[in-house]
Amino acid sequence: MNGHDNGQKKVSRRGFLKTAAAAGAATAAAGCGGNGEIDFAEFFQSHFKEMSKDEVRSVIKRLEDKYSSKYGKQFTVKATEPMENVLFGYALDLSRCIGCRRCVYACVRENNQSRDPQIHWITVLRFKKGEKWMDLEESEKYYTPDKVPEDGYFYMPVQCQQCKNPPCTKVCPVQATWTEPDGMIVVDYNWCIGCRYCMAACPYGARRFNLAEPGLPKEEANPNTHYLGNRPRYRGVVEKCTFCVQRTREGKYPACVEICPVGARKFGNLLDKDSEVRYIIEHERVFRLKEDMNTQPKFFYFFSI
Amino acid sequence: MRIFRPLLLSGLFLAVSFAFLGFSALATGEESAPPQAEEENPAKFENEPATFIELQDAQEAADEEAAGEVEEELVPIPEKPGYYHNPAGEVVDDFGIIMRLYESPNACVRCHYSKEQYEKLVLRWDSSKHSKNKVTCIKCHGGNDKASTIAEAKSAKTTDFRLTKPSLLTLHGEELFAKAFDYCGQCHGTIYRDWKAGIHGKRTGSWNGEKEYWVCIKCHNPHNPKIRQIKPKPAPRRPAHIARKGN
Repeated sequence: MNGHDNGQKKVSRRGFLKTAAAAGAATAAAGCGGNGEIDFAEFFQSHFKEMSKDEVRSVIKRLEDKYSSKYGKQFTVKATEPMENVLFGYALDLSRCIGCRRCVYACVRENNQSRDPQIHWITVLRFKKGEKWMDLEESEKYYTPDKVPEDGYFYMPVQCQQCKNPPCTKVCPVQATWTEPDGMIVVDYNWCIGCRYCMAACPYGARRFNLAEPGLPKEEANPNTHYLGNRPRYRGVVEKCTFCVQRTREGKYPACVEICPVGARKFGNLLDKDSEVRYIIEHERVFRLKEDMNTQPKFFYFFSI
Repeated sequence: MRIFRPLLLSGLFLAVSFAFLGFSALATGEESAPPQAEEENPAKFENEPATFIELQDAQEAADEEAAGEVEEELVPIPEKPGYYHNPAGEVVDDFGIIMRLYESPNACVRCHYSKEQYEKLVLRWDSSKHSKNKVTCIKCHGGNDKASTIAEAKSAKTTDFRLTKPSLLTLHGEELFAKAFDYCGQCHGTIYRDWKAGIHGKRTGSWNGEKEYWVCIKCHNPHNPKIRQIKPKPAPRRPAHIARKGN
């Protein structure tokens, strides 16, 4: 080793540590300087499920201040707890869906998705009627006809299926995503490290990744947010449909249900015997997407005619 | 269960060195009072009607505007002066009204006529499945289509009813619209059953409380209930645009 001196300076242990500390400080400064991307409290924030009520409150206060100054309007970040005896379920009538994509854009507005680069939580697939039954390989995502519904086609919106046996939460190395007691699968955007294992594990392609800094215009930001739902995201985190956790935990329908012009989307409590979803499951021929994966989705498709 | 803390472990070193820098980097600067948040209703897009029937009507109006005034070419019939053949081969009069519609069971048109009514209601009905299945004016509006005078039309009680609730015929305007399901449900029994259960049609409001049940005519035009086509929202962009941004 000693004889091999090809122009490289020998680095002593002390010197190395010094350089590394300086480099580390520089990196930290770069990370924190900018537009206040990460601050001290954010850096040391605990996992959402491990935080005490007080900690949650202070975190929410910090986020509200940050978002309010960033987007120029008063943001509320809620941490509404799940209701007792509620398990959310969803049903979608494929006979009625006309593929107009209004749900996609209502979701974008409600849930503060990035406009540029574009992130959509809902994908509407177009299938040819007849011959093969529901071959996802032959579905079309980028269809652009003048008018819908077109003759000879049917449409199938796909979003997070809120599985009872979710592969995505199992693979998360840091438990940044988990199932809430009301059946919603949520992501703690402050805990997510952006490894995208969950995206690889999800058989429905329902998760989205912020490859670039999310582009959310100030005037379009929705200030009514939930910590686990639609608060503005960071670069390098995964996001997904939460059945509009900020709305449904307050008793409202999700945005996609509210907007659907033809009323193809049904939402309700699976534990309530009188809910629409329960009636549909009991009286219609429902099916679940990719049932053979044993993911046990709480999202039911059916053909009413 | 203990949760692995990747940020803490990997970043501890950075954080310690960060502490030396002081907190000057944390100063956020200006603190302007942000305006109050307003409720956003996702059920409504800007400049777009909220109900499906308005959406379809708007689309139809836009299409008509784009197409412009279309003059039908009328061919005079030599043996019947004053009458013409329209492109579909039907006999029409000077005003362009299809003569077939003057006769029973649509004889109501003879007196109840205006250009707008004719185009928006009668012609629309004529192309509908209701027309094919002989659901004529009186089936919903009441009256007597065989009457020759106005007095007769008003007084006569026709027996050609399928309505089991003739009392509904006295309703008008908002009152009638709110009861649309009672009307349509008398023939469309299975749909009515599904609508009551929440399968057919739309509900908004609260999943565990107050709901608004959207009645038939909020989506279907009773004169031609078939759903009309509307323009879809734009397709998603292909993922290539993210790579180009290079952030």
